Amino acid sequence: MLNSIIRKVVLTIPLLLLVSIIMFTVINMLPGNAAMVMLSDIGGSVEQLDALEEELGLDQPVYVRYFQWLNGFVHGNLGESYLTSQPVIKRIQERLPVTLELIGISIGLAVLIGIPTGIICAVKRNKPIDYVLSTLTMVGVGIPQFWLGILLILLLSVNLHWLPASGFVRFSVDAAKNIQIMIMPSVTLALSLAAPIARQTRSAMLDTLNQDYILTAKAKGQRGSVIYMVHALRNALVPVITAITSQINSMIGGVFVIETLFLLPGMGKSMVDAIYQRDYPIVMGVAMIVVTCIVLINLLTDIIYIFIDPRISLSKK
Amino acid sequence: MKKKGTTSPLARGWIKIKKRKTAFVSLIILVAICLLAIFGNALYAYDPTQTNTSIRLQAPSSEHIFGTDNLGRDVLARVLYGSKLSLSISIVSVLMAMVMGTIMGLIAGYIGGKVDSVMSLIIDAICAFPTILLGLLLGTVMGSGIINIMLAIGIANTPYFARLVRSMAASLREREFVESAITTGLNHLEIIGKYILPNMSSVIIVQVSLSAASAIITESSLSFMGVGVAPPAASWGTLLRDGYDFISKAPWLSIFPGIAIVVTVLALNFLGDGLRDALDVKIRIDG
Amino acid sequence: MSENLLEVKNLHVAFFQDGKLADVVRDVSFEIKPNETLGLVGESGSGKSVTSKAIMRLIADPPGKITGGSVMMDGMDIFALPEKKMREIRGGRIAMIFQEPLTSLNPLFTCGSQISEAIRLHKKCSKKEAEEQAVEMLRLVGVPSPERRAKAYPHELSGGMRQRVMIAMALSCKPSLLIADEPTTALDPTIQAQILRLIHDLQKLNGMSLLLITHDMGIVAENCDRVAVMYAGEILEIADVSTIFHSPMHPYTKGLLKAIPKMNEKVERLYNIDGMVPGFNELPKGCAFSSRCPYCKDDCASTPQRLEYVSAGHQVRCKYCRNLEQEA
Repeated sequence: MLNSIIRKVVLTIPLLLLVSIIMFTVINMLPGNAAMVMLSDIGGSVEQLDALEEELGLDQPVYVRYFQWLNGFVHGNLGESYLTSQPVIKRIQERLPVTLELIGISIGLAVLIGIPTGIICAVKRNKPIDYVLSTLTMVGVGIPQFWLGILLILLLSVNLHWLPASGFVRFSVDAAKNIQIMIMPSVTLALSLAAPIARQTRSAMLDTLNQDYILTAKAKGQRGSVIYMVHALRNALVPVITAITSQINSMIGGVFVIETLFLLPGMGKSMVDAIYQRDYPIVMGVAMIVVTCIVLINLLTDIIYIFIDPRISLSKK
Repeated sequence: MKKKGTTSPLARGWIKIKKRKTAFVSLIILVAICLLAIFGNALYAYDPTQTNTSIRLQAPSSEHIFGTDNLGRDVLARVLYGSKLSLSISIVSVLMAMVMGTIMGLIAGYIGGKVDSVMSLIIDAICAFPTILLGLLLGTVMGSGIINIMLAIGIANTPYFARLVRSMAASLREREFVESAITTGLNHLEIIGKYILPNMSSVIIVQVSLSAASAIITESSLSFMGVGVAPPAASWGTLLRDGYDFISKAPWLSIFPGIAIVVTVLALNFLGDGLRDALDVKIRIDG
Repeated sequence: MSENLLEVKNLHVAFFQDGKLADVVRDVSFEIKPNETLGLVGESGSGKSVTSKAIMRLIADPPGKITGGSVMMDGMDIFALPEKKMREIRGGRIAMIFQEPLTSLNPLFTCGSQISEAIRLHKKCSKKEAEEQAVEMLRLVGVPSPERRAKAYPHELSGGMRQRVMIAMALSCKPSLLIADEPTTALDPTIQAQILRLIHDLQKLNGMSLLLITHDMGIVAENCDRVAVMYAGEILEIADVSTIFHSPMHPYTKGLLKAIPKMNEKVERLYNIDGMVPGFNELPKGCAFSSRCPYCKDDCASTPQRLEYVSAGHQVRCKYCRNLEQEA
């Protein structure tokens, strides 16, 4: 068991290296560098451009800059913003809490909505409530997150005036206001997450409910509720957790969209802004942190599986 | 009644699709959407680019059933116009992803060994990027041309095909009929063409349908964030972005293009689901 | 009539197949006396398992449905009981073991906890007492070092051990009827005999009846008091075991017996019954076996046959069965 965990951990290192190489290459293909962007406002000369490029280290070859960047990354230094000279790590520290709050609330809500919905659908299979909920989850999978957000803004802000559509306040500054502003973005993200979780829970539950050991449990005289919640759900949990983690990717994608839509000053918004401003260090730093998180979450779930299912550690040795 | 042994998986799938109501209805809706995208503007009275400031931001009426936008253009005409780009970006990008992903997956799965390890690492690395992030980066790198956005979404979808094909190729390679084919002296390309690819065609078809749905969502999200299609070209995503500025005055600008997206995506997902059941394929729409 | 432990009368079960209701079990009647072993034999798909699940009221609805008949257990009408009462019967009065012990045990719970779960459902006792009883049950079914095995997960045990765990679980509440659905089919031949021996010994020990479902005539010969032969959802013949083996009346039973390989006879080619079991949607109106019967008469496929007594305790569903001897 320990061996397979160690092997998984070791394998993520080349993966992360490759990710950083891909990203660095892509980002350095961005048209127009920061020096040009910075000077285009004041209309600088070619000499000024060269000087600025040298100052920012842009005159060096890509691979040299990559190793400089990698060296910095390992030591917790992600460089400085081209535009504000603010250390990237500082920017991330500023923005991360907003994104974490968004993600945390959303996952919590999504699990609270998605798993019970899936269980109800599986238990009441082919009954009207299953058809209604299953259709709703299908619609939920098919709605673009930003459009769901627009619909919520239309309903809750424009028509009912219940919630503000923008105007972020930090939790530490005004908790009530912060929660109020976070409701719509979190609900948007949560609903788009809950739909696939519900679908996966439904099919995983249906799979397990067809298993022989469910029949055994019934033949023992066990109650339906215990069969569903103990015998079936625990077996269905592995695919459900897979469903949740496989959504991490699209959820983080959703963070970019939703922070942009609701003007939340989180990681996603700062990344989108930085892309427009050609502020490479920010783009690179934020993206690298985001992707690293995704890789680590996937690693963590692989390890969690080993604890949930006693068979996995055996079969993967 | 006995099944003919010669029917291809596609033909068998077609027979089963006809039996499944939702999948069949979805297929009809998709054909209708495609026909509307191709012929809609020619048949409809209003020109999607004709501005008329005297009828700005009019609510839906019998005259303009989807209303008009901030420049007085008919929204239904705009939605029909946008469908051309939204659909073609989705189709082309998914076909690109299919071709690139299948090649990568075949190389990894069929050859196996070290090649597989390296290829899988590359696939995993691309997979670690959220599609939107990859689209944002690539879209910005390559500029907001239509070809570029197709490429960006295509690349972002490639690893999903590659993973599928890799695992199928790896397992098919071990099957007896492939091993016996090798002993008959066929070369590897012939084996791939005759035995490997036909046996995974149904899986790929299902994935195409599901990826096309997600490509439409990705395109509209990118366009909404300003990285995708740029004016004067218009897709459903750009219509939504332009309409969002007038959300309190003219909500219909934000509603109708969205409905178009949802209907198309749902039809594709239902079709993919139906195809998966009909072709007995085990992949899921959610992951 | 109260001497019977279980009475199944005119049982009908249907399943939805391709949108149509197919009668998977038709007019099945039999009874089991205390301490008796009844063998239910037939090819796969003949409705044996469905019959046993119907007795436990474990037919999934949908797609299945009990469409007629009754099951009396200890004088109680099983189909009329409220669900709560039924749960007391399942595991308490009637227990069941299945063909594939690996999939029948929940992979995520230890063997001991699955046995003690059954105990706690039917006996008032603490968790600790139940666990101790579970270990005792494991010892009783011959699991070596039962304390250790109680903490093991199903995948850590061998097939035979798993089936012993299933038996321990089924018998933990001293049921008066055990339904064993192909209990040894998934096991190695050497283990098969051990498991059947064990079931037999425990049956003696507990004073329990056994409904043994199998497709193996050899197992029937060695373990059963009486035999019911099922084909395509119907019982074609019921009799005590020596009658079935020495003077079978139904052509199907005869065919089954001819298909058993015999040790001391040299056979050129093993007999097999021509044709295939018809699907439930293509059954003839009359005798279900008519399409494969070597003695089939003109009216066999069109007129339904009834299960009729040919002698005391011997019922056959074939009106021509008495004349077959002369023909052959």
